[in-house]
Amino acid sequence: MTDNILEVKNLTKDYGDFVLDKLSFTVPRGVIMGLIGENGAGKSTTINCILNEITMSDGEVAIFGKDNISEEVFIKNKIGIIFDENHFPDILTPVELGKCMAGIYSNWQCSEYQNYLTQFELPLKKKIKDFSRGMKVKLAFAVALSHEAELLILDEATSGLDPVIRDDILDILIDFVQDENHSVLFSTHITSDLEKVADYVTFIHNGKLIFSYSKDEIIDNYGVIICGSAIFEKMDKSEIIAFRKQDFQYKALVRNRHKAEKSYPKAIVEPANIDDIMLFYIKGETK
Amino acid sequence: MKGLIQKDFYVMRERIRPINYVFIALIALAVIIYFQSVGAMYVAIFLPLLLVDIPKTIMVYDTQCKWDKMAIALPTTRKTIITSRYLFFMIIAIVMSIISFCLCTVSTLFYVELTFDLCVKFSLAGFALSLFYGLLTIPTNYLMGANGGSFTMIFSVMMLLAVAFVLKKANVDLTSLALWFVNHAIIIGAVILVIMGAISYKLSVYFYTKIHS
Repeated sequence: MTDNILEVKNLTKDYGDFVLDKLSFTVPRGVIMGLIGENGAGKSTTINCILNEITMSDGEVAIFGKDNISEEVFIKNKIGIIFDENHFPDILTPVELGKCMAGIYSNWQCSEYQNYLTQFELPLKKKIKDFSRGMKVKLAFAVALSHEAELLILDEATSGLDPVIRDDILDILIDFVQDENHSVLFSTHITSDLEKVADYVTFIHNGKLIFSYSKDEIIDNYGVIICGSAIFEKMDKSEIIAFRKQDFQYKALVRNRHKAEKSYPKAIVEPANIDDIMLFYIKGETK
Repeated sequence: MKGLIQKDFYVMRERIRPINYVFIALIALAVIIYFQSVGAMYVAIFLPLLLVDIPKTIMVYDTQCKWDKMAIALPTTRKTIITSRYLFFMIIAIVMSIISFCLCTVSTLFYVELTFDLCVKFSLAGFALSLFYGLLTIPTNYLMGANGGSFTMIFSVMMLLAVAFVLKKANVDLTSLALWFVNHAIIIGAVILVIMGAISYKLSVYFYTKIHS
């Protein structure tokens, strides 16, 4: 058994007007990895390539140590996928959907599925089209968790959900990774969710990988310096990742906030959260 | 595979109202009663054709609910998805042909000129026609979506007109041709359908893979 449940190497997808550019990252076993980036950054393209929904222009994807194309069926039997919207035939009921899935997944667990439907309080004989968005997402989780999946892939699954249901989902994810062989790849732009549950964060911007670090490393090291123009002008610009001028002050994102605290004692240095980091990379200036 | 076919049956059940089946059954009965033995032969040929549009209805629905994205994320291959669609279509065509054959056979009890042998031949012809239409419809639907059915219809009519035109130009004796065709229909039909089936399947896989990649 490999240590990494997912390995992406030099993943490239060229659409002409958008290029996912040589993306490389790994998801170890037993962790939740957040995949962040603004709309159109390439998160869904990355997931689609991983799932072989679209053909990669170049690169390699290994899941459970196996090639994602040649071993597609084996791999997908062990992946649970939750998309941003319902893709199941909405004229089916959960019971009928379960019967269909039993004929598709080789490890389908009927009793497990029934338990999840009960746990999520989903009506067994109501058509999916009459479900609320939250119920549809929970149904997708019930399917994803009922075939002994080892890797869950969530593509913007929590967007548009109320905080209560989002919290329920985060609990499900935490439960899932209690088994150290299980992992989650969680694409979202609700970064507060990631701050609660993610172990690693991979940030994509304009089709390029900005970083893929452990969340603690990011929270412990990244910082935002808030200072006036006098201090800002004297700052070593090589330490600044990006900055934003706001009225009479500057805000600058730095990779090592402890060093910045020592170097600029008169400036205010705050820990950066994932939202700050995304905003600086996307909207900040670099020169 | 089994789950994919089962899903198609569930969608068929929901998308095609029971009243449609009742309506078709009533028309079939009316045709048999009014046209007698000829009507029974018509039913044997055309009843399966009435339901070969079902795969198109399901494919249009799949596009509407974005099922294909989910299907590809499931432990199946694109080929399996296509194969299941063809198997579903075959099951529909076989079931409808058996029903129309049964109707025709029952009619032999009432109309002496209608023989069991004729029922077999006309039911086989109906089955072959439904396969012909379905094998054209499935790849065109994958290529053109909801417009595929109309394209198939226009293409089929144009093909028939073209054949008629060529035969007329070549001064072929249509009566003797028809007789020859009837005598060799099973062999000719089987060969044409096998070739068509192989081409249709390859095209469907090609279009589906091209669209979903």
